[in-house]
Amino acid sequence: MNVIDLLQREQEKSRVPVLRPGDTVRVHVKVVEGTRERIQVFEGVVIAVNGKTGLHTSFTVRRVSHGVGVERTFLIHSPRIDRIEVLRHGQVRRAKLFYLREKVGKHARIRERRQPLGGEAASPPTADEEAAPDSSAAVGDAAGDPPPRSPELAPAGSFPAASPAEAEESDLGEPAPVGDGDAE
Amino acid sequence: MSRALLARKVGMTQVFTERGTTVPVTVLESAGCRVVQVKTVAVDGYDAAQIGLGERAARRTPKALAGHFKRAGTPPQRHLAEVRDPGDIKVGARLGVDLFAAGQLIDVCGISQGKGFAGQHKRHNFDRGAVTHGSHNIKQPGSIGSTDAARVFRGLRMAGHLGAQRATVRNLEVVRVDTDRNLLLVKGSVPGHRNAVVLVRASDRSASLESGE
Repeated sequence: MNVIDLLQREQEKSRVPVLRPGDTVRVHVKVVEGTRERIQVFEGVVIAVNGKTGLHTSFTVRRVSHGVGVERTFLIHSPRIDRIEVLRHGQVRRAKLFYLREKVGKHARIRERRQPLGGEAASPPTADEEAAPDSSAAVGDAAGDPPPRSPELAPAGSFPAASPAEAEESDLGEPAPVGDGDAE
Repeated sequence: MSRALLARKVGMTQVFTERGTTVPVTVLESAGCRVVQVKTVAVDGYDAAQIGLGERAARRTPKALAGHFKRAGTPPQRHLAEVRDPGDIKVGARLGVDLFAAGQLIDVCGISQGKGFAGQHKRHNFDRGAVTHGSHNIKQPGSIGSTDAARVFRGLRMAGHLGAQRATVRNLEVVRVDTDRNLLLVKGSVPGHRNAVVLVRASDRSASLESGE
């Protein structure tokens, strides 16, 4: 293996969750305030995942906070990230959900994906990534994720039929004036 | 003593700092760099060290060079470079990446990537003309002189061959030194393509910092 790959591999975390656009996640970020360090939680919808796998992979999380859209982009292997919880999976039809920036309130909802994606091995959720203590979010769908780094490429035609039950509205859906995301 | 080393450019990647920011780095590898000759004022008129890097089959080595390496007691080297004012250094000595330390500033010399025949914009950072409003002056060089001189001055910046010449990038920070794998991680980019051989030396600024100036 070449040296560059080795150097990158060394810096990667051993386990990272497989994130897909539309997922609602809770990112535990280490922040330094003065001298001490604490964990800050940023919860929102994954609107973009950049890069397949590897050190450079980043993802963008959007949330609406006090009526203002806030987007933050993280490197998935960043040492500043303590852990990432996947609260629910969204049923979305595109890879980049930038259209959510123009949507407000009920239109900004994302339907929940109730079935695992076709072709995925149904493995039990891993303890530290998938354990979603939030009962309102964990609506019985945490079983669909393969172990990290597996090539999660489901054929598009094999999506199961969308469940008729509309997912309940997430806490991001509050009516809000249009706030454009300013990512940090 | 000015410390220097020949190294191979492996490529670029990024590394995380403890604070979570990423640093773009160039990975340089230097395994088996040797001192081939030490030049002195008495013999050569100036102080310098000739250093070499890379394997070379003995049967592919010209006889004259083979003798040169034999005298140094080193295997035939592929690349040679000369460093001024080497300080006390012995012929045949091995040079490793441990010459440098993380946080130190270095200069890196190499042959820049060849760009072929390039226009003024790429070669000399000229501005382009207007693209719209009927302008056809998009990538033209502009005036190359006045009527008074009735000739074009030498050295006027024009289109021509770009790159593939020696280039030095100064004051790059050493991010990490990996002695096990003979790697230097240097912040930023370095002249040359992948697998190019570059000369790494302690920068003047780094030297003056060490002597407490």
